[in-house]
This record gives sequence, structure tokens and C-alpha cells, in this order.
Amino acid sequence: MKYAYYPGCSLHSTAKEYDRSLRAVCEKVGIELEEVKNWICCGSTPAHTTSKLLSLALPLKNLAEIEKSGFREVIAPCAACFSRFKLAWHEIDNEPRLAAEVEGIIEHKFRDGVKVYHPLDILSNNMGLSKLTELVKNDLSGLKVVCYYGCLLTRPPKVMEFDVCEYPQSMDKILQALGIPTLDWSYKTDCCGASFALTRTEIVLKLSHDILEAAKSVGADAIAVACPMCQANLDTRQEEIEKKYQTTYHLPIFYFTQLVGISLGIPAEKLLLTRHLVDTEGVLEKVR
Amino acid sequence: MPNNNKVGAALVVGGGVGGMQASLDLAEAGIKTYLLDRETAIGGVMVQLDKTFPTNDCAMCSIAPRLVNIGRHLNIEVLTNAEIEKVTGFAGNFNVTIKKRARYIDLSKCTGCAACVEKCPMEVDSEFDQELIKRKAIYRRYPQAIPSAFAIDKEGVSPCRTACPAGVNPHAYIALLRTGRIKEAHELIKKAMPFSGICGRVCHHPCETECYRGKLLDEPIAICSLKRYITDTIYSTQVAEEVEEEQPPTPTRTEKVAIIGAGPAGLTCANDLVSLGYKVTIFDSLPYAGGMVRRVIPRYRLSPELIDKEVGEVLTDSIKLRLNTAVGKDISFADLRKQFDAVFIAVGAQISRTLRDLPGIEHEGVILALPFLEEVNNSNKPPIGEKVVIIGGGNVALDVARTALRIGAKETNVVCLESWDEMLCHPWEREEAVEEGIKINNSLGPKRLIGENGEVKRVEFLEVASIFDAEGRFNPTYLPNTEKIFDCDTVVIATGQGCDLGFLDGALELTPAGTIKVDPITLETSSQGVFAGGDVVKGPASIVEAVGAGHETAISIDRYLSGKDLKEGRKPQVVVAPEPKTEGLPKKRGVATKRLPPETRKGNFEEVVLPLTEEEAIAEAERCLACAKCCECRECEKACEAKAINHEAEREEWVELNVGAVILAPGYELFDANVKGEFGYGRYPNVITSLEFERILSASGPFAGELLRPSDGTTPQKIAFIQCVGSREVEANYCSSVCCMYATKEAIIVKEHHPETDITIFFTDLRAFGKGFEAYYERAKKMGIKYIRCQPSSIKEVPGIKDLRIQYQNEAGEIVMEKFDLVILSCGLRPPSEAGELAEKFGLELNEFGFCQTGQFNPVETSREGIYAGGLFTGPKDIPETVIQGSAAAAKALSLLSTEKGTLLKEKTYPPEKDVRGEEPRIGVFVCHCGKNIGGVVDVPEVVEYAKTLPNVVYAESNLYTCSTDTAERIKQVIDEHNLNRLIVASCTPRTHEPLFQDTLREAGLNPYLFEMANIRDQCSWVHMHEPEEATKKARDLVRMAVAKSRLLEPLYPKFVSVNHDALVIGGGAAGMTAALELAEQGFETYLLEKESQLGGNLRRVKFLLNGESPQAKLESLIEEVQNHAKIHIYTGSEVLNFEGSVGNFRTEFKSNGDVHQINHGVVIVATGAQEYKPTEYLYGQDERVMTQLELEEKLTNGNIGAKAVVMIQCMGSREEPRVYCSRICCSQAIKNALKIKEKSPDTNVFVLYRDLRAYGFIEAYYRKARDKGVRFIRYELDEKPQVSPDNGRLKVSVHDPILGAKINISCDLLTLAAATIPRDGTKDLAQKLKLPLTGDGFFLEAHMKLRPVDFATDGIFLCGLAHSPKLIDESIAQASAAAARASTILSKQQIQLEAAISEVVDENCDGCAYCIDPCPYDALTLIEYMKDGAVKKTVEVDETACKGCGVCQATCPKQGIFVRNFRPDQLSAMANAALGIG
Repeated sequence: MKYAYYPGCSLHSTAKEYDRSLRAVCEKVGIELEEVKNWICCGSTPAHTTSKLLSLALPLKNLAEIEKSGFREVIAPCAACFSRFKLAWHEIDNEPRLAAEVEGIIEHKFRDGVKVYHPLDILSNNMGLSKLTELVKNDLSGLKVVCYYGCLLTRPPKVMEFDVCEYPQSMDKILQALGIPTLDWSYKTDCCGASFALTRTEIVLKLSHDILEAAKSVGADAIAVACPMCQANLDTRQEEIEKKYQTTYHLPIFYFTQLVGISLGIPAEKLLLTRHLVDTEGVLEKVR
Repeated sequence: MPNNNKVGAALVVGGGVGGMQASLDLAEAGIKTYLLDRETAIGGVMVQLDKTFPTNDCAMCSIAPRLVNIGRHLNIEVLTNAEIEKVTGFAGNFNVTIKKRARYIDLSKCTGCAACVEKCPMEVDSEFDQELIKRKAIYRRYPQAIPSAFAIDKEGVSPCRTACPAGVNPHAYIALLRTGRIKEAHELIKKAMPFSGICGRVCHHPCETECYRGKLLDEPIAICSLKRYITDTIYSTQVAEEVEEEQPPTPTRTEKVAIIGAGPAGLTCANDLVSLGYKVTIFDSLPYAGGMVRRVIPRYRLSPELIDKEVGEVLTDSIKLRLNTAVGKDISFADLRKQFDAVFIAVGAQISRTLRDLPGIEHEGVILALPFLEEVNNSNKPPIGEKVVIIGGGNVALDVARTALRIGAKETNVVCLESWDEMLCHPWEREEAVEEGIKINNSLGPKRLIGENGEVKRVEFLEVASIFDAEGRFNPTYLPNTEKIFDCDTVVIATGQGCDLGFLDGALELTPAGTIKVDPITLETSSQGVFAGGDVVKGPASIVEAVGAGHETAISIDRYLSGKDLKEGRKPQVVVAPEPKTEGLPKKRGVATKRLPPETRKGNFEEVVLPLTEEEAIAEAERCLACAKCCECRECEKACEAKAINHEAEREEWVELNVGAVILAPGYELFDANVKGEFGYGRYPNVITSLEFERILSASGPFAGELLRPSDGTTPQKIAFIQCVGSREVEANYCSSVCCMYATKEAIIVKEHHPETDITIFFTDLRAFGKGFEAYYERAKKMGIKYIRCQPSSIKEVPGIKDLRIQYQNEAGEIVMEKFDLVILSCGLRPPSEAGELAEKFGLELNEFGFCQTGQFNPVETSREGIYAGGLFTGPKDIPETVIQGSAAAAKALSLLSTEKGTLLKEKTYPPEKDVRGEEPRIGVFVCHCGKNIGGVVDVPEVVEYAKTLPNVVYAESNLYTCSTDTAERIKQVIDEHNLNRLIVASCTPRTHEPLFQDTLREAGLNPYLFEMANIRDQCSWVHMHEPEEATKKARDLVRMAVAKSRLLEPLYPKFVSVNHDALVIGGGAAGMTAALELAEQGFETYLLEKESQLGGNLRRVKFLLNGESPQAKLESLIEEVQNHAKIHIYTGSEVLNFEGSVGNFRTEFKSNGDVHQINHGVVIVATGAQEYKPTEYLYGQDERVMTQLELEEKLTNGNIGAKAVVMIQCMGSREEPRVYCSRICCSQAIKNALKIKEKSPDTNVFVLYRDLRAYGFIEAYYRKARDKGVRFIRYELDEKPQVSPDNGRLKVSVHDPILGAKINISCDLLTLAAATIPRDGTKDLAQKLKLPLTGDGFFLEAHMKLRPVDFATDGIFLCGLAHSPKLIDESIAQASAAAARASTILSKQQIQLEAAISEVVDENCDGCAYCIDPCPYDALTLIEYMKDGAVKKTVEVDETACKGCGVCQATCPKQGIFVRNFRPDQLSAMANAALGIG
């Protein structure tokens, strides 16, 4: 299995550990990734708050590059990139006139298009969970995790076509296949506040607090995420939230790929486990 | 029957309220009716409901008598567990093939006694109770079910059972063990497995391999260990209790059977044959019976005592056992064949194979496995050295190694060809061996044995290259130069076993492998009458296979000796149970096998594997997933005295029906709330569906009516309802119509029981559009139920306590997070799951939502002639509308088959009535528990005992439900046995149940009026539910009173009147015309009276419809049809002047265009319609730009309205004093007109100012369309009504928008008022003339809001259309057809039986004061004068056809001059005296 790989800006910077752990896991399970050449920004939130055409042209320009390089499938691990790609494709797929307009702008006419995947989809569906089970090296059955999918990954369901919109399962299934117990909770798809972190910090503190509180109250040792923004809000703001709400969580926020990596025996340094603000050592030691 | 003939029979598909109503109407009007239901009982969903809105009547109490009517109806045949397979033919003559799934219980034999239920060990989710609790696999859907017979829920055979070669049923014995019935479990095992103790220890248990739990979830059930536990427990108690020995059956057959080999196969076969009455002789060369089991299995696995016990139990006196007798030596095989009629060869694979070609094999110290084991078992200690090498890797090799260790070997090496993973031994045996210190050496093949002085000293092995060759044959090859040497002093060869068949002398054909060749099914050898089985056929195999072969051979031998075909019907196809649901089940590992510690095993033969404890065994049994539901333990069969159970019934059977018409009423499916992950249904125990909540509220529900929440059984203090779950969304773009009201009802019921409960209903629009609903909603709000207009987006569960948090926006616009104890999802109604299949089979069209496609003017007609649809199948609707459609569909079928009425009917005959006059009263009293309804409050057994002490009571008993069909049978039996001549039932109310019990009396040959009822439920247990002692005392009083009256009862005899077959329909609108046509089509002369000068009524003003149908074209054709029908007589400009008579014989005087007419007729249909309210508000009548919706409709038809902006104000004159009802049609009128405006001039702005947008049913889609087209809907509150004022030549409408929290001013050119629908002028007058009741709102009041929506309380008079309440055109049409069907049930009869218990005048007491005349509600009394003793005597005369026996006259008479026949003054005095304890 070989896929084009679109890391997006986060995975080259703040979410480097997501990038590294994903690459390491893919290598371990035999999935080949080829980073898209000349990739540009997906547009993220700023683009679609500025101009609809811009918000379409940016992701579609990337998809055009991918198609030109001969790929029909791309993995976009960042929930925001994934969302922008899927939405852009959905828009032009349903509106031929719009498609023509955007194709004019990006100077590329799509032939078959490019299918956009999230790594959760790849691991749980395209590859098959039994493969993960076969490759388990480390026993993480003592680590209780809640899977946090965030608000973007599955919504809107008709566009994302990925997992059960309101009660997604793919991350839980991946971790369970590795023998990691995942706990049921009510906050799988709640919003963490996302990019309001800088402009409306108090919203993020409240929403992320609710999520951390819920995770703690079901007895989780850690939260697994699949989105750089979720990770950033829950991890980097945790101390601030603890202070504000007079509580302690000390919940490490793992990218699910990091947990997969640990389980498959990938060395910790390859998974950049030390880049977290809430340190992961305590929890992981307990497991080993 | 020639194909062009019509058939006087109909099929109704679906036994809910709609299907039941259709069936009753059809059958009563003369059509033989088949009522089909998928379930095991009819009743549909209504029987699952607690109460019904808006009257809060008990659903079950309303419906139960109707169920019984169906169950008892001679001309309704109920087909349950059935579905449509195929349909051919055409309207009037269809052939329908029906598939019936087996019930496994004979309907004609089952008395519904429920004795089987107690015995059934299988608990499965109760569908009826929405899986909140369990029911048994043998079950009745609900206590009052019709048919009342039980059914067995069987889903094939569990895999553990199919896996057992011996045919043992682990599923059943595990179920019995779990329920503490170890003796029954043991008996069940023994039937298939005589050696259960042996098998419980050494079986290789293929059942566990197949176990679904192991395959799908975690680990298989430890079936083998459980069998051992059961057997050991029984054996240990047997010693203590000294159970009596069973007498062996005496031989009944003369034929003799020889069995060679006393191993498991031979013994099993002998055991089976003896029980069939054969004489059996077993030959064995060994000095003991038991075969290989006894000979070679080491004692640490199996004790000889156990073997002797189990073998001994088989060896009864009927078996001749000849030990030490080797066939071929002591007796020749040929002689044996001559002396015996049949022979079974079961000699096993008794010889150890050796390695003849292995260099050095001849050395001293090289021994064979089997002789070695045999010697040890014979308590000898064969000489072995300290270092033992065992060649071979099977179970025998391990047995040898472990035995060697126990008799002194210091070092044992097992060496085998196979790798660790390929080894042929059972893994658990190997595990034990390794524990004991045995070394296992894999992938090595023996090269040679090296000896010194003739004694073996070393074995040389080579590494294996391959074991099998390219063709898969055993042909090991070795890698050169890989020699490995083991020092030893003993070598045991354990490389397999073979059969010694020399004794056959070539008499039988053998296989290339050297076993006997047999037929795989019959086990017959190449020689007739000679059979072979077990290892001698299979090669070394297992005990279970040997036992299986023994059973099969016994069947073959019996057939052979009886001259029957050996093969016929053997090995039937087994349906394996489907995989059970494991989702969400917690993983739980099986019980760990406990063994003696390895160090204590050395040097002795103590049993290694330790038994399970009781706790372990039960816990393990509880892990069983109970696939297949019924386990076929057959305990029910033992319990059933009626012998009604037939486990062998064919799974499916096919029934062919020839019917003239089909009515489809398959109901609906509740929306699957699992789909809405955000609400956590299925994950959060305290989030439940509305139907689950109905069951929780129901007295017969899972918690016996206690309001408890599922997670912890506490009473919820705060409850939330979320409306529109699965309705009004993109996937289901319609409103489910009933949820607002059922949620309100459920909330009210909770409030009534627990007034302190805090209840919030989250809704979008509160759609209380039906008759009486608005007032009900107002009542709910007054009770403190909070209605919050918000659709919550998710529910969060609080971990641990499992409370639920809902975030919503409150009225002030604030976001609030509130915690609730219980959340109910008001799930929508989806098309029935079989809709698609039915549509395909019947060739019908479905609409865009998946419901049956029907039209506004033909609401129950499908796209195929002769096939009609009703109820939820045509769209979401409430109970009365479902009942209406049931009747309407029946009307259609009756019209189609009018010429065939009565052609296929049966008539009921009763036994001749016994004359009991002059006999001393002999009273029987039946006291009903009514489930918990009475039994939960009143001490029923005490009341029974008390009743027995009362004078003339000769018999008394209690029943769970006295109204059930089985109890009716019981009553008849008791009447007969005890020669009763009076009967009392102490139960619910005569209102619903008296006719039922009276019919039972008639069936028992007693006059029905010798019956008396004591109302100990409605008037006792229900009203005194918190005072059980007082209630019991009152119940005793009520029974005593009933007994006092009963002693004075006398037989009464009803009169019969002939029926006039003409009909009168009052009202010539759409409803009246439809009803008239429907009746005329059935052949009845019909008089149609219309007040106006022309027909058409309100429909004349309806110019277009939402769905595009053309009402005026339809009206025109309808009028034409009515006018041209020879049997319809139209009178326009008419008015009823006088009305008299009673059902079957009415007389009406009326005026028509000035002429007075008088007609006689059998029925009346009232279809007088309603009218639009003339508003006085908002400049109506002052400004021509202000108009009603109907006026706008007129204007829209005549051209463009030429307005830039139109405002519509809804609820004009509705939903507030003085009319606290919703006019139902105005919201859709507004949508319709708004869409028309948008169609004509898209730029016109349309604003609809509404309170709740009541676009119920499919109208919702048009509401959405209107929004899409830009129509603006703005809500207003009642206390902030819109204001209208003239504004610069336009109209200004100001309205406060509660969402914006601000006032909006709209400038418009046209203002439309949705004026209320109000009763037509003259309704009151007509009601008085016909003596019909009206509602507080002035509409006619039907007999029962839910179940009798077109009947009046007065027989023979029916109601339809707007005169009943505001409704849309399709609803009016359906109700009109329904009224015709109801009328037809009377008109189709030749005579009607009158009430016998009516008023009677005591002439000598009556002085003609006439006090009684006016109060009589039925106008049945007349004052007359006659000459008596030469003087004029005034007295009162009773019209027997009109009198209903209500007793009002009796109550008004000051002189005891009139009484109702079974409420005689002396009877009432007796009751009063009894109540006071006098006399």
C-alpha cells in the first residue's frame, strides 16, 4: 500500500510528533507514504472566512499536484486539512460550474480526482485491524484511554463519509485491536475550542476543561486524539485550565499514532513522546 | 371454483387495532375473514401501551374485550407467526400463499395454563417489554394475548449440540444447571450419553470448539467440566440417598442381537436396543466390560470405579454379557451370525502399532504403549527403567510418559515427528505433562535403537525434513547428519493403533486403512444385518464418536429387524442457530481448570483434574450465550398436561387462501434510536425510548407499574422528554403525528402517580391537533409539566451515577446545562419493516417516505384494485384514525364483495339452555388478580376463602386473568363439574367484560343473566391502591353483595327485531356523499339529506390541494356518481323534523324543498359538517384586504392576488377561550396558500405568524418546501398576539418574535386569518332531535375516543366528517367509508338481538305521574292510558327496541313502579342489606 502524504503545516511544526509517529507506524505496518511535492497551505479556517473560492482553490491546488504526480489517494492526518480537502472536493463534485471556475484558477482539470483519507480510516478499514493485533509487541492493557475525535473529523457526515458521525468508533477499534482498553464517554465529538485558542481563550479553557473533566471522571489515564488542534488545546492549556478550575488532571494527550507506535514496539524517541507539555512518562511507566 | 367468481372471504394482514377493526367489520357484515399477524399473538402496539390520550383510559382495558371478540368470533380465523409468501389473482379472487412459522404448540390443545413457563430454563429478551426484562423461550406475548396459546421461540440448534457426535445437548443441560435443576440436567445427559462421568473427564469436547462464545467473544463455555460437575454431584448424592434402582424394561421382541465388543459403542447400542425391547448379548475377549476406556486410560485421568459404575448401569439383566469370549477363537463369526438376527461389531482399535523396520526394535526394554498401559491399569507394575523414551506424540504417548513417571521413571522423554504446533495430542494433556516434568522433543524421527547386551540403551533420532510427501501421504524424511541421541533403559512405542479383524475371516469388506467399510448413515457393513461402528470403522477416535455410532446402529438394527427402510429420514438437515449478539457484552473468561499441584502427582494415580465448585459451575453456566433461544431440554413437555407441545413440528408450513380482497395493516416500526449516537441510546441505560417508557409505566410492565429507572431501580425525580427523534429530519421528512401527545400523556401519568416529579418536554412545535388534545396539553401545563422549545443536540452521561446532562437554550435565550435522572426519546414512526416486501408481493406503490401510496380522495385504496391499506401503513397516525382506516378499508372490501356476503359464514350454536328455575342457587365465584391490577393491592386468596363461606357459594377460585380464553374454558368446566347455576366474577368492570362472561355462561348451557360481576378493580383496587387492607375488606363486601344479588337472579330472554335495510345519511358534503355511495354500492337503499340547495358542502370551497390533486374535478365526479346511483335518493334543501325508533328500525320525518317526507330506515349516518368561524378581530369585515384562508383560496383561484406582501395570522379563534381546541387544518391551509402564492408570484413575501406549526404527517414536507421557497414563519406567543393597523394604504402587522426577542413590523397588502373550524349552525338542534351527545366544543361526541371513533353510544347511528371534529379531506373520506362499514354490520343482518335487561313497568305501582319520561335518554318511555276496572288508568309503556336498561327511570320513580329487569328492587335491597351486614 502506497499513499501520497499531505502533512500540512501543523505536522511540520507544532504536531511534529504526530508526523513522526504516523510515519513510524506506517513503516512498521508496511504502508508507504510519499510526501506531496510543493504542497501549500490547505487554507484552514482563515481561507473560508475570507473567500469561498480561495477556500476551494487552496486544497484543490494540492489535490491537483497529487493527481499530477500520479497518485489517486492521499492521507491527510490533520483534521483541519482533512476537512478542507473533503469539503472542497464535495463542493466541486456537486457543482460542475463551480468546478470549472476553480479548475481555471488552479490551472488543472481533474480527471478522476483524488480520494482523501484520514489515517484512522486507513488503519481501521483499508489495512484491517487483525494486522495490528498480529504486530503487538508491548502490552498496554493497563492503560485506560478515552478516544477523542473532536468536532471536525466526522462532520458533516455526508461529506466526511468517515465513521459514525455522532459516535465514532474507528480510533477505539484500533486501540482495542492493540489490547488497549478504551473507555466509553460522552465527549467523543465535542468541540475543544479549536482555533479560538488565541482570540477567545476563555472559550477554549471552558470547552477543553469539560473534555478533560469528563475524561477524568470516567477514569481515563490518557486521552488519544487525531487532530493537532485538539492535542494542542488539551495539552498546552491543561495547566492553565487546572489553575483556573482549581483541579488537577495530569492527563497526557497522545496522538493515537503514538499509542499505536508504543504498542508495536517503536522506540519512544522515534515517537517524540517527550514533546508533550503534560509529561507522558508517569503513565507509561505504570504500564510497563 | 371458476376464476371469474368473486370470493366471500377477505384477508387482513396485521393484527393491530386497524387490522382488528377491519376484521370485525368484515366478519360482522358477512365476509369470512382471515387475520394474519407476524407475531404469535394479535394486538399490535396498542397492547404494549399503558394509557391512551386524551382520556387516560387503560390501553389494555380498552382493547382486551376486542381481542376476545376476535378470538371468539366464528368467522374470523387468526393466523399467527405468519407472513405473506405469494399473491396471484385479481380483485375479487386472490390466491394468497402464507408461510407460517412453527409455534411448536398445538393451538387446539394449549389451555394457556402456563405450567410450561415455570419449567423453561431459557431466558431471552422480552420483545413485548422492549427488552427491559427477560421472558422464557416458551412464552405468551402478553397475558391477554389472542390466541392465548403459548409459543416456543426456537432459532435452530446451538452449535455445541451440532458438534457432539453422541448427540448430547449441552445447551440444555447447562441451562438446567444454571436454574438449579441438576437432576433434570443429569437425566438429559444420560439419554444421549450413558458414560457422562467418563465423558466429563476424557472427552475431547468438540462442542467447546464450536461454542459461539469462544468464537465471538472470549472463551468457550467449559462444557465438559460442567458435565462432569453435574454427574459427580448426582453420583455423590446417589450414595447418600440410595436412589431406587430403575427396573430394566422387559424384552418385548423375540429377535436376538449380538454385539462384539463391550466398549462405549457396543454398550451404547446394547443400552438403546434393550430399551426398545430387544434381547442383546455382548461378547468381549477381556475379563471386564468397558473396552479401551477401561483397558488403557490411566487412573489419574479416569478411575476404574467410575468406569465400573457407569458400565454397570448399562449392563442390566436384559443384557447377556459374555466376557473372556473372543469371537474367532471361542466362537466363530459365522456361528455368531447364524445364532443372532443382527450383529454389531464394535471391537475398537485395540492393537498398538509397532515400528517393525526400526533397527534395534528387537532389543529388550522396547515395549508397546497399549500393553504397557493395560498392565498398569491391571494394578501391575511393569518393569521399566529410570530413563524412558516414548516414541510418538499423541495422547497415548503422553499417557505412557505420565504413567511411567508415576511408577518410578526418573526421566521421560517424549520424542515425536511433529513440531510443537502440529502435535496430535490435546493441548491440555500436553500442558499437564509438561507440568509434571515430561520433556517433549519435537521434529525428530527415530533412526535406530542402540542396545548393549540385548538391552536397549540409546535411541538415535534425526531431525525431520518433512512428514508428508507431495501427495499428502505419511512418508517422513529426515535431514542427514542431525543425529540426536537419548540415553534410555526403556523405549515405549506409541505410534498409533490398529484393528485386529482376523476373526472376520474375510467375511466383510474392509477399507484400505484396514477398518471395516460401512454405509456412512446406517453403519451397515457389506453384509446385510451386520453393522459396525466406533474405532473399528473410524480408526482410533473418541468416546463420543463411539457412543454416537452405538446410537445410530441401534436405530439401524431396530429398523432392520422391523423390516423398515434403513435410511429414510436419517440425518435430517440441521439449522444451526444464528450468531448471538455479542456487541456490548462484557468479556468474561471461562473458569480455569484446577489441577493437583504437579509435585503431589508423582508416585500416585490420584485424579489430576479437580472438580468445579458449585459457585464455579453456576458462574460458568451463566456465561452461556443461549444461542437458538429454546434449548430443547423438553422440560416443558413434561410439564404440559394437555400434551400440546410438539418440538418436532416442521419449522415452516404453507397455507393457501382464496380471498376476494386483501387489507394491509402491518403497522409501523419505531425509529431505531441507536442511529442517533448523540443521545447515547443503547449505551446510557437511563436513556430510553417512548415505547420502553410505556412498558415501564404499565401495570403489567417490567417493573409492575413502578416508576423505576433502568440503571439502578430508583424512582427518577427529574425526567426529560426529547421530541422528534427520528422525525422531521432530512431522512424522514415527515412528522410522526403522535409523539407530542404520547409524551404529554406519559408525562401526565407520571405526574398523577408522582406529583413531585420534575418533567421537561423538549419540543419543536407542540402538535396537539386532534380532538380534545389542546385541552389535554393545557392540562399538562397546569400540572407543572415544563415545555421547552429546543431540540437538544446531545446527551452527556454523568459517569458512575448515570444521570444525564442536557444542554439547551431556555426561554430567556440562555444556554443551560441541566441534569436529569431519566431521558425519554420520543421516537418517530417509520414504515413497517416489511413495507417493501409487501409492496413487491402485492404490486403496490409506496410513497417517497416508504409508506403505502394512497390519495386524498381514496385514502385506503392502494394502487392495485382489491388490495386496501389502513392504519400506519398509509402514514403516521393515532389510534382512532387507524381504527377509522380499518373500517374504511373494510367498507371498500364490502363494496367489492357485496354480492358474496354470507356465502362462507359459519354460525355459532350454543348448547341447549338448562332450566334452573326452582333450583336452589349454586354459586361459583371467580376472583381475578388482573395481574397486579387487583392482586397487587387486594389479598385475592383471602377474598376467595371468604367467598367460600358465603351462603349458596359452592365453589370459589382465583385467576391471574379471568378474562383470558383459557379461564373461560376453565369456568365452563367448573360450571359443569359443580353443577353451578349462578356465576360471579369479581374483577374489573361489567362495562367491558360482562358480555364476555355472559357468553361463557351460554356456552356452558346457562342463561347469560345468571351472571353477576363484582367490580373489585376500577372501584376498589385502583382507588384504594395505598390501603391494601381496606381494599381487601371492600372486595369482600363487594363479593358478598354480588352473592346476595346473585341468589335472586333469574333467567332473561332477549327479543329479536327485524332490520330495515335502508340507510339515512344526513349531510351531502364529501363525507356524506362518500358514505352514501359506499352503502349504495353494497346494495342498500340510501337516503341522502342535504341542507343546502346543492351537494358538496365545504368541499365546494376547496380549490386546490397540497399534493396537486384537483378537488373540484373530484367533487364533480362524486356528485355525478351520487346523483346517478339508482340506490341513492337525494333530498336537497332538507331539514330533519322528527326522528324516532331504534337500531334497525328508525323513522325519520323531514322537509325537503317544502315537501314533508317520512322514511323508515335501519341506520343513520350523521355527516353534517362544520363551518369556518367569522372573525371579529384584525379588521375582518372592515377592511377588504383582511380575509380568511378559505376566502384567500377563492381569490387565488380566480387570479393573481397582486400583493407584494401577505401576512397570515394563525389560530384565529382557536386554541384560546372560548374555543380551547386546535382547528387542525389551518396550518396546512396556510402552507398550501403560501405555496400557491409563491408559485404564482415568487417575489411576493409571505409571512405566517403561528403559535405552533402543526404540519403533522406528510404535511411536514410541504412545510419544509414552503420554507425553501422563502415563506417566512414567525412564531408568536398567545400573550403577545400580533397587532394590525392601517398604514399608509397598506396594513401594518406588528409581532413580537420570541427568538429575536424583538418586535417585527411587517407592512403588507393582504392579511389572511386562519379562522377556526366551528360546529355547523343547527348542530345542536339536530343533536337534540336525534338525542345525540355533543362535546363541550359543540361537535358530536363519539362512543369512544380511541376505539369507536365513528359510532355513537346509540346503536345504529354513526358519525363522520367535520361534524366529528376538524379534519382534512382524506380523513373525512376515510371516516365516511368507515361509518358506512359500521352501518353495514347492521344492515347486512336480517335481525338484531335486543337487550334483555331492560325496564319493566309494575302496573299496580305506577300511577302515571310521568316523572320517568323526560329523564329517559333513549326516549323509550311513553305515557299511556287504558281502561281498568271501568276507570282510566295511566301507566307507562316501554319501547323494548329503544330501552338500553340504563335505569334512569328506576331512579326517578318514587313508587317502585318501574325497574330494570336484572336490577329488581328486591335484588338491590339484598345487596344493600349485604353491604350493611343485615340478613
